[in-house]
Amino acid sequence: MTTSEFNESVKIYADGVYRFIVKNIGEAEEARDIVQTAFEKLWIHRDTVSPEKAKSYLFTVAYHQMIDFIRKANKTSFTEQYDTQQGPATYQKDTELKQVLFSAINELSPLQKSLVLLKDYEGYSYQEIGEIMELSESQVKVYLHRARLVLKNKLVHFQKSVA
Amino acid sequence: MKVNTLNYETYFLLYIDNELSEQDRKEVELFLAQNSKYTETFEYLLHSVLAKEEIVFEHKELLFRLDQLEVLAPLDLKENLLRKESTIIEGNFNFRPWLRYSAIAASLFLVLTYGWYNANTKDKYIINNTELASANTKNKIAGKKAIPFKATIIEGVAKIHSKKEFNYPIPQHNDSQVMVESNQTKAPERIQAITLMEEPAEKNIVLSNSPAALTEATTLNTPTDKYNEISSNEQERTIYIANLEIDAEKFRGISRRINALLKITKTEKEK
Repeated sequence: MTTSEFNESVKIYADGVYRFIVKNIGEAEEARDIVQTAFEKLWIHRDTVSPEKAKSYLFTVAYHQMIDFIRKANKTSFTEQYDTQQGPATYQKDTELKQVLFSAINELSPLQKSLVLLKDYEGYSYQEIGEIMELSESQVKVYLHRARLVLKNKLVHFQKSVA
Repeated sequence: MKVNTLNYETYFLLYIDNELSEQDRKEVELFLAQNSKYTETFEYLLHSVLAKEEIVFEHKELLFRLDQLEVLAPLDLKENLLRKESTIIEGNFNFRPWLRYSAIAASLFLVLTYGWYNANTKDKYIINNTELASANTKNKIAGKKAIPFKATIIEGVAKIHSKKEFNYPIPQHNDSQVMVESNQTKAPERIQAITLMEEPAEKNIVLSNSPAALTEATTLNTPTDKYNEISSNEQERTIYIANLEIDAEKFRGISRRINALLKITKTEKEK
């Protein structure tokens, strides 16, 4: 990877890596540090990492850094940002649903939460997630589906309680 | 058809995870169209998918590598960086007056402390070097254990002895040297100052000394020289730096304030 390609990776992937981390741990400053560390490692190993693998490498390093942080801090929180552009009624309903969803996500294990974030935010395939998180493709599929069902059941329970 | 009532949930999950082929996606959509009672389950699963959010990592320029920054960075980024750099330089410049004041204060403190130290140590003989230069250069000083006088000062004393008349009689020696010895085994007592007293008719040096510091002093060429012992109380309050007289009490007060100021500055910097 050349310096030019590295800088291009910064432009393309920095936002995604940062979003993945900050959504997981909920601390912007720590997330910035983790992102910087990830790019620092990419720079150090630029000779062995190809530009095509840069994104996967960055998320892998950031994920492991995040796990270390979570183990040390022993806490996770899922932050949310509401879209205030929607109409009042839709916003209220979506806000409640989002709150339930974020609450449910916070109850997931760090592994499941990372799976959901990597899938939904970054659109990674099961195989790519497996490479990042050092899991087999079938493990990713099973863990992610379990997480989805937990989230779905929370939403169902919320809707029934409202009704 | 692959999708049925036994495996529909798995296919729904694969569908929302975008892990199905186009053909399988169509099969799921067909299954939903034919089995509307599973639509609610499918919608709940769709709601469990997080909507994408735009979160920006600010200051990406911190991650760029400098060797390519000049090539890659657009003009507005360069200008922005230059502006930041100017701000940093300006900040440093605004801070520098403090550094300058501190440096001046520290230099002044060192100079004054050095003068004060010289004036208060046992060899605090203040001799006007200008007059020493004009004194006779024939006499020399030597001793078995020379007292810690600076050679130039001692030499100056000797030179002055050769020309000036002292109120205190000095024993004579036959050799051509001035010998000054000190009893160094005893604890050095406070040595009083020698000041040069100028008298147009009679050139006098007034020596104020303690026996422990100067046990013997001889000159060859000054048989009529006399020393006059003077009170040092007034002189203890005065510090001489070259021709400059400074009140010791005021000087100590100033030095304490400078010390306090420097300590405060240092503490603030550390914080």
